[in-house]
Amino acid sequence: MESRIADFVTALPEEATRPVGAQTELAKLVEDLALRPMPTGRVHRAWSLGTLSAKIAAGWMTMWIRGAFANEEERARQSNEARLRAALTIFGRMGYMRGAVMKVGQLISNYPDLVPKELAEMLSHLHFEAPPMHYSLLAEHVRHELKGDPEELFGSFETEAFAAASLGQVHRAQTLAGDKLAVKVQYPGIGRTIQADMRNMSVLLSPMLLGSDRDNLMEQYAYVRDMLLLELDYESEARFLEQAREVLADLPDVVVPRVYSELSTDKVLSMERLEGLHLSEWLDTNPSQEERDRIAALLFQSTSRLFFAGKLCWGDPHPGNIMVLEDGRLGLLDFGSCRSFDEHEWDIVTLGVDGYREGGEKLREAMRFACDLSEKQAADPDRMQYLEDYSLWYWEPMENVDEAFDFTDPAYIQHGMKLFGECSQKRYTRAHPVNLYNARFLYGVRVLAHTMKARCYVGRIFQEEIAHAGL
Amino acid sequence: MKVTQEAKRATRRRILAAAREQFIARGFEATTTRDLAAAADIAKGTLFNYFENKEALAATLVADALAAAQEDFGKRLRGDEDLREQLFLHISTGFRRLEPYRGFVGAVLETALSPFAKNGVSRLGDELRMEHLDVVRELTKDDPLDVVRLHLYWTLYLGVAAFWTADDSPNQEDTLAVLDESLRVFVLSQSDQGGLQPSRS
Repeated sequence: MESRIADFVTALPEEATRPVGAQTELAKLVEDLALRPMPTGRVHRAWSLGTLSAKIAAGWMTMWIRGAFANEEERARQSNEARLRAALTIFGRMGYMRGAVMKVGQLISNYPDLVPKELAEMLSHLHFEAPPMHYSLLAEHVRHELKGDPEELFGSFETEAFAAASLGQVHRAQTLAGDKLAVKVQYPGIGRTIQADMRNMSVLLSPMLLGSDRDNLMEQYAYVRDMLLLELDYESEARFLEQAREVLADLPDVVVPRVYSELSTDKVLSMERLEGLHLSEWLDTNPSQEERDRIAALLFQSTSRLFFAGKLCWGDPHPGNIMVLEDGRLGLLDFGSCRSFDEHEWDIVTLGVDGYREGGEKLREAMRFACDLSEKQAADPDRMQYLEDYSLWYWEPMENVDEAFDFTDPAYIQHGMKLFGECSQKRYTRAHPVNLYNARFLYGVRVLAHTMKARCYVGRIFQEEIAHAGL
Repeated sequence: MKVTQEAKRATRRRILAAAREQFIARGFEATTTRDLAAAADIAKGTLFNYFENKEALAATLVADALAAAQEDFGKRLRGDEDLREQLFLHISTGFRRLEPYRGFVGAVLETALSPFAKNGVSRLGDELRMEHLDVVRELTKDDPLDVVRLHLYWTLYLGVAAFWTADDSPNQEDTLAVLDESLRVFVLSQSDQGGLQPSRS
């Protein structure tokens, strides 16, 4: 355990571990701002989980965001970094780090080629190592939410959590009729704290000079914030689960858990409990190539159906959210960060499909539209070349309908990450915010296929699914 | 006419029921002893034969609720809880019974249970404190609390209770978090491995 912690700290970017001093007047101001009382300030300290986890998340976020102004003029860059460090330090002290650390952990661990394998594995364990609420606290919270003791409302309710969720924990239970349940319970008060913290983060980040794409970056931040806030609302997740069940009703080999709405609120979510193995556990059983290909195909088919026919982006493809059931079916869990496309976002998707079909100018038009580029930006050959390379990378697995795409080769994933990294460095980050979610989904599913070392007829599935959706 | 013990007990019960109803309906501050006497259908003077003032009435309601909570606590213990969870269960069970009185528990905290109250000033307050701490002593008997830690515990308890009376978060969910965290800190302070000791390295 000791060496693990040491490894964590070593892995942090230097800037994130440097204490926030009062190097500049600006930094002082920011610090003062941070010390202002917040609406839920009384309980802020209560959730402080120590500085280590905070540093880890802050470190990774620093790396992520600083890429956005890598070429900034030195003075502005320092000023921005001072603000950013202050913001992230505050961010690091915030109560929901339990959730945020895990989110960052999951995200990083989902990209095995981005960080050293050992670090990715350690980060993926964060998902399961969050300190649990003891049962008496949880029972009291559930009682307040459902207006009754768990012992009265449920046939049984296990006192130990069987999984940590990013913003809560999950318990096995049964309905009074004996149906098997997974009950997800959110930490009391965490939602309001996140809302307050997000407002403060926004205040801290908004004066940052992030170059010509500043507004777009802030728009993206706002989008991520809104989506995170949406994730706090288990009622919204319940709606997505029901919607997904409906969309996938014709796929008998795919299961999305049913919601027990009478035992659910915005902070308690009672779902059908699926019996089987999580993806990593399943892979540990050394399934045959045929089985891995089958599961990957189901994953592509079901998530594509959600995407095209359901207009839903399943935003959190993570090994912990996928199960292979005892009867061989695929289970999809966790619809907390699902996105339902609005009209404009759907236009981006359909124009993208047209661009794929027609190529050439249509493809460039789709890219301009998706990235919301100005004429000047669209006339920048370097930027357009990157976007085109990215598009080609995206469509590559779909190119051949008659041949399975081989995800076992890490070169494909690495190439995608390289393009993504270079785009960030060059500040070609301008995009409609929905692309953040689409990219997370897109990378996520492909990385999962790579993790499964699967070969899959992605092109055929894609053609079938867009036809099914009438595109 | 001689008032029998049974009749006295009945009157006392009637006054308490009326007080409960009036405090909840009108609020503690707005309820006068005249209201209470009228609701209990007795003369105002008679009321004072039973209770010194309305604060004493409120303290009695609180004491009765906490006595009932004591029984609940024994039933709710599963037997596999650690100290932090046992203390949480003890306090939260009390809050459950006090829920209908949340509006005026603050008044009791300020009088009978105030940390500034000297021993002996409020017999009922002393009893409440001693009964509560007896349970805590029993729970910590394997690692007995010294006088400092016992005082620390009591201070935390009163602090959380005060927070609860004014907690306007949905379903008072912040109280759960504050209580849990307070107990975590307390239990850590009780343990040598708590990380709250100065580093010896």
